[in-house]
Amino acid sequence: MLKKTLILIISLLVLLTGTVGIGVAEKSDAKTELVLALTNLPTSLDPLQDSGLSALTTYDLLYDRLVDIDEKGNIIPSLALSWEPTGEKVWTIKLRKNVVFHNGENFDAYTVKSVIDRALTAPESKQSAQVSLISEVRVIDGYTVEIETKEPWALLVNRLSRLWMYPTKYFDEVGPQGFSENPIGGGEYKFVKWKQDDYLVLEKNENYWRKEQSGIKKITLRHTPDITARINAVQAGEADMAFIIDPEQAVMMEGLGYKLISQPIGQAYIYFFRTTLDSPLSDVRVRQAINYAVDKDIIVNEIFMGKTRKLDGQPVGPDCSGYNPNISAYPYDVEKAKKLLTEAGYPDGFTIDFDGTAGLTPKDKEAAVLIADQLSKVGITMKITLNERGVYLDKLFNAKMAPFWAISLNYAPTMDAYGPLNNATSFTAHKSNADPEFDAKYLKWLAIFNPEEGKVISDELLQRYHDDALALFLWQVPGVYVLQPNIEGIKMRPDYTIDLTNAVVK
Amino acid sequence: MVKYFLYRVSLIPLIILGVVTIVFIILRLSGDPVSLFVGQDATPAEIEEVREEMGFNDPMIVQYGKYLGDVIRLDFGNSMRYGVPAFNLLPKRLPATLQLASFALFISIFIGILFGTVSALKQGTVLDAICSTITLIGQGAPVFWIGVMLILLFSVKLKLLPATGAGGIEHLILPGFTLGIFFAARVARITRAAILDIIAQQYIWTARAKGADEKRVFTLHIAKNAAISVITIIGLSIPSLIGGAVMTEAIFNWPGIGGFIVTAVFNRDYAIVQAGVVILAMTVAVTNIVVDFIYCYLDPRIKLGR
Amino acid sequence: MKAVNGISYSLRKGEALGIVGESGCGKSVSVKSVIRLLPPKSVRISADYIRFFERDILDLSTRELRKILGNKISMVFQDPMNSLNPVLTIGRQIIEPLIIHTDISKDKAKKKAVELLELVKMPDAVKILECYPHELSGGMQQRIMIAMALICSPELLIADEPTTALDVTIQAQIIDLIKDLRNSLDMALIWISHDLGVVAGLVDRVIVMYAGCIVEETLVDDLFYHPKHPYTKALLKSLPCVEGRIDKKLETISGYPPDLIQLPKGCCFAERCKYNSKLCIEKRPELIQVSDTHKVACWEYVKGVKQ
Repeated sequence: MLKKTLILIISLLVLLTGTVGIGVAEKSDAKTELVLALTNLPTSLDPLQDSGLSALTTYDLLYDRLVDIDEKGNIIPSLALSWEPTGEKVWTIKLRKNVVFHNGENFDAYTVKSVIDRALTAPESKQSAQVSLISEVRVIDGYTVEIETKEPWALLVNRLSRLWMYPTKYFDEVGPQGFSENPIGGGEYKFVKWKQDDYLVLEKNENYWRKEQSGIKKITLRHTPDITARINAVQAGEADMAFIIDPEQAVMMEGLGYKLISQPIGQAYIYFFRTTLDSPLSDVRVRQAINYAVDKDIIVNEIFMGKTRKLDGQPVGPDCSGYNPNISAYPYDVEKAKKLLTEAGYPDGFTIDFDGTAGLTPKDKEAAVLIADQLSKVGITMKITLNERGVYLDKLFNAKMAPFWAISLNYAPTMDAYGPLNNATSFTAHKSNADPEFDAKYLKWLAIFNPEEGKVISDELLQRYHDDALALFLWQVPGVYVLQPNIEGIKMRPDYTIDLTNAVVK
Repeated sequence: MVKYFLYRVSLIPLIILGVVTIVFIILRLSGDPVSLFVGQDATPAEIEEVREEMGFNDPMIVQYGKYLGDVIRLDFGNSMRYGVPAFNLLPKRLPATLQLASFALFISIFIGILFGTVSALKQGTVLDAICSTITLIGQGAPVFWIGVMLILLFSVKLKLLPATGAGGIEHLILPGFTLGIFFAARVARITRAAILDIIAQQYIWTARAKGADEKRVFTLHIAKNAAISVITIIGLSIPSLIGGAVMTEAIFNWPGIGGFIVTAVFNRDYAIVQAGVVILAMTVAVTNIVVDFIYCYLDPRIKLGR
Repeated sequence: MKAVNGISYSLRKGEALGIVGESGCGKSVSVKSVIRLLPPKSVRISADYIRFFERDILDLSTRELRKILGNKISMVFQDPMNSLNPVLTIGRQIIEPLIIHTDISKDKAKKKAVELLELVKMPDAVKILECYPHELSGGMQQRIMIAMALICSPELLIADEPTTALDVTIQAQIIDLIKDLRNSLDMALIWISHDLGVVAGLVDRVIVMYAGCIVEETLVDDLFYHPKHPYTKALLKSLPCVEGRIDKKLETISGYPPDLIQLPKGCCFAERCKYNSKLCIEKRPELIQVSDTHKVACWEYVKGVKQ
């Protein structure tokens, strides 16, 4: 009896173990293949369904968009050749001809209209809020579209960088489910195989329209949420590149002979001041003093091992189109800080509540401790509360933040100054700043169509941001990638997209 | 027997009710529940929309009632990241976890019983000391330490086995052992104790007095009695095997339900965590019942329900 | 620790020998060591020979020894509840000696088991085969043990205090059963007990043990009517009498048995004995023949010794 039971159990286990086919994660062995360990794959290969930043890596390989972003944050033509405002609320966009999707379908004005309409109205679209100001898309001819917005919107075309183009006739045929299982794009790589939350295999689109193309013929993207697993994959030779690792791990890997790419992402980490509250922070001298009292270089070098850059006195980096090159970071000057505090009436400093985060961005906790220590040297005592994500968002949405609080301002993927500037207006949920002049200028900026004129205004806004010390400007969130030593020529952009044009596997 | 079985099964809904109520309370303890279902960049309009959708503006009793109704229909809310009902995402990831857990169970039973038996039969010898020490290390070392050590040795240094992912049998070995070692240690200790206890029993001498050779004494008399304790422990430990699978899946990037729930926890994707908790609770409840019945099948002295 | 201190006895085919003595005197150990049924790591047996018919048990390999156990020599243990495997049916346990020692088919073995159960007067023999030990009473379990011991028709049955764990009425039944079986089976018997009364009607000869030594050996009637060793006398005196006065105080033997780790160099019983002489303390008396059928180990009976 026992023997029979044993045999039954053993055969059951063997059966379970052997026959459940999970799938094969491909290994790269040819010199034209790459295996990338990403933090995660998109939840869907339908580019309207995952609006997360990390999905961009994948979408950028499979699809193209109307405009791309250069390293200064400016939009450059991709599938759109040119664009100009033709009315107060109208943009006319001219499209590239002779672009064909992977299934042979043509890219034209109807495609654009279809995509935008779907983005606005489909229940599964996650981009509807992003483009909600669009009221109508009109096809003028085969390669010209007109987009009308509800209000004048200077940054419309920047915002269009969030929408990836796909063959809409095919989509209508197969529906969102069918498209998800068998996606077709027009990008440099086309779909081969996908296992959700596991891996995605792409191969080179030999008919790609760009002049300069990559020599990589096959890419496997692996869904690897655990940071240690990503590094292990590289160390074990299973992946050629791992995305987003900790600065210390990066230094360790560098020591072992691996290559690093350090490309900070389009996210500015600042400590915001709630000037709307009655606290010592409502005095501009106090806020400036805090900026002088914090040594940002130490933070960048010690905590981030030099793998990122500090902010130049503004809530955006030089990779943002709105970056003002005339502003520089507040220098580290403890004496000046003390002087300002005394002027403001706080010669012995004060105590202030601080709402921070723990684990939402890399090293946020450690930095808070270091900054508190630095501020204590000018007499300011930070009473730190490190909030769990749920609690943090609760305070954010309900304007319950302490007078001094941390926020990671995202300006990717559009790489314009919209997000950071919006954060200092009174139109936010957290209600930290209410400067009517600032608000007015901001609205004016949104409506100016001429890029140069617009830049002037946004420069002024950023200058105001800096001079009024609306925030303690800290650092840009790091993006560290580790590669096998035999990989050369890969470039990363601040929006997690990868440039493989010159990639070479030795 | 059947009556008792029905009685035990009827308790399961009660257990689930308890679990989901605790989940309901915890969700509301950490502040505004809507913050668990939207992203940081949500506009005030979006926030209010989600509030309405999820019923967070209703009085608590109404919310609880709606919540229970949803749970019965297996509706745990939409995953924030995937945008689809959380419960739909879980079943297809179950086979991978079952595969890993079965393999780990398999090797841990095998190794555990082997070590435990050798240890017991050769009690007091060097072999016993070696086996016992290894067992102790296996039980004391945390799962993630074992996993990382194995990866370092076999994947990074020796490049023998893959460090991540699922695929053929070679992908199953490291995670299987990582998960199984702790379990094997526990099984070994119980086996050793059970066998030693039984060897000292009078009826073993009776068997010898009948002329039974040691092989017969072991297989028929010792093993059958030891099996009771061992199988009970194995059964009762299956919940912790599932728990260990969660960590193992994260380390090895194994595409199972455990790693999925871990990622959801880090992403604060609450709907998935909720659904996952309920599924795990169900698994534990069902496993315990199955173990109880196996136990009484093995030991004729136990009669259930009397 | 010397559990057994130089003992020597023999048994004839079909004869019944009783071994009596208090707990810890070594009676059980000595018998178990005869058939080497002790844990080999904890125990060392040193003997000149242990002869069973023509063969010396000490010379047998474990394999050869096992052929004899359960087959030619069987044992019944003291505590029947713990002597049966709780997870096997009675049937399986009873037929086990047959399975081990013969080539008999399972069905035939089961039939034999039923025969044996009827032999030991078990009601519902066929049903009992499917039962588990815990479902039966102590008396029934002991009968099963006996049936199990007899199923291969052994030459020698060793019974180690088989009735100690049972109540008196059951005790009587078991003893009667053994008597009947002896008559019909022509089987030798060694019966170990601490209860003199039990061996009285059952065996032919008796050995009295104290502190690992044999102190007296004789026919059963002689032991009760003409005991020689002071210890035996004291034992008999301490038996409660059914007749006579109820309020009479029970006789006891003062003192305690010696520590087996540190045995005295003289007679083991000396310090509790009323004849406690210098010789007794100095030198250990040997077992000497005082008549054809009677041996005793006491200086009292050695000729030429001063009292």
